[in-house]
Amino acid sequence: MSTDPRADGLRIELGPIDPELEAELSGVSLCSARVEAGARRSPRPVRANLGRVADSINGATAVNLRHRPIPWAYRVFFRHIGLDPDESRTPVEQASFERIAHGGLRSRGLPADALMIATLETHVAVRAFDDDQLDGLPGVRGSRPGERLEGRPGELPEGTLVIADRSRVLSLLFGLPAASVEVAKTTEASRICALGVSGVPAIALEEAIWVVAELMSA
Amino acid sequence: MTQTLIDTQTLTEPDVPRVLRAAELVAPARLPLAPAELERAARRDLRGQIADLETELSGLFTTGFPRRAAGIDWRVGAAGGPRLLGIAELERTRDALVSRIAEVRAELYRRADAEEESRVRVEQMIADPEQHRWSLISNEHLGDPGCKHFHVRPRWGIVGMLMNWWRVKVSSGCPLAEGHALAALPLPTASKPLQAPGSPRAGWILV
Repeated sequence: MSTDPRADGLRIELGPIDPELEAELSGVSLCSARVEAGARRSPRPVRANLGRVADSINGATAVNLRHRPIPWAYRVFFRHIGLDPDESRTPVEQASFERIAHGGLRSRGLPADALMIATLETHVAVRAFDDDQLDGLPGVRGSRPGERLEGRPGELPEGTLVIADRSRVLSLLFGLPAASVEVAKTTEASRICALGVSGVPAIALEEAIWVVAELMSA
Repeated sequence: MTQTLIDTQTLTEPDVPRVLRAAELVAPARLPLAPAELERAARRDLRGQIADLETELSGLFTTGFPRRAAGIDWRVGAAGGPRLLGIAELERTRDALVSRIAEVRAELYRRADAEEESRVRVEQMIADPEQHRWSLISNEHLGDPGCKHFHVRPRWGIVGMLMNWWRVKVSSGCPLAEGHALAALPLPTASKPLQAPGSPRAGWILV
């Protein structure tokens, strides 16, 4: 099995976006790619990379983060969808906060380390799902009446923005994936998703996916 | 200066259709938008305003650093997402941002004034220590990071007090970090010196 994504030619695909959502919040996109790798302990180069990324972040970087174009775009998008980024932090701000609060980044294995590195390097929100558990490409839409998210009590309020495949909800937008689609040790292939919003260039999404794919195949 | 398309002085009744056509050229009539389109345009406009306000709030956040964040609330409150917000909710978010920016700006102005007063006071303390006996100004009062403070103290202790020899003493900075693990350990006593369980070398830090 060749694990080098460059050799395999990483195929980045655009997931479906609800037309109403697209009309309201132009720029929302979900790019994803299949990577032939599952969860495992991070190899030494990935852990070294995590340490290097952690060392590049200090208090001043974290404070000025909201002036950078991509983190700012996510903050604005949070406000547009009814979240307060000072209460529910954007992915990159959460990662920076963890780094500052704990004085470093502890390795949590793959794909968590790869997602963390990609988030801090590219500032893009990335998620990973077990590709073999998905029914089609993941996309973004509002939840339908009676829909549930695995691991969350009760039904989702109608119109809650979620990442979903053809048949079910995979996670809340910017939320953690449902347990059944999480990348596990038994996972043979992962689907790396990068969530784009208005102000985040497509090249940044692609770069984030490439970073995760390369680290997962390390 | 506006350009006149028709000479109004020479206008006669047969010219009226020509005037109307000219008016259409200057300001072409717009088709009325459907209510849904109008609402969508309003929401788009509100989202633009929210983006501008977020930029402003972010600027204030950076301006506020490194002052201690205590007393400044940056949160605006969530409308309960993630979901598409209606006009009323977007308006509430915008209004909350406006009032938060006003509050934060007022607080930063207040602190800036107080810091300026403290700076003037430090200058006065240095220029004339006798007039500011025992005065203490810390970096926090000056809006600077760190633990340094300026303290007017007598030179040579009691002798300086009696002789009226005063000076400004600048502290050497923050105390050394001790770490969380040490704080969690029990205080050592004379009969029982500090030894962390399972860590024979932990005790030497305090020795």
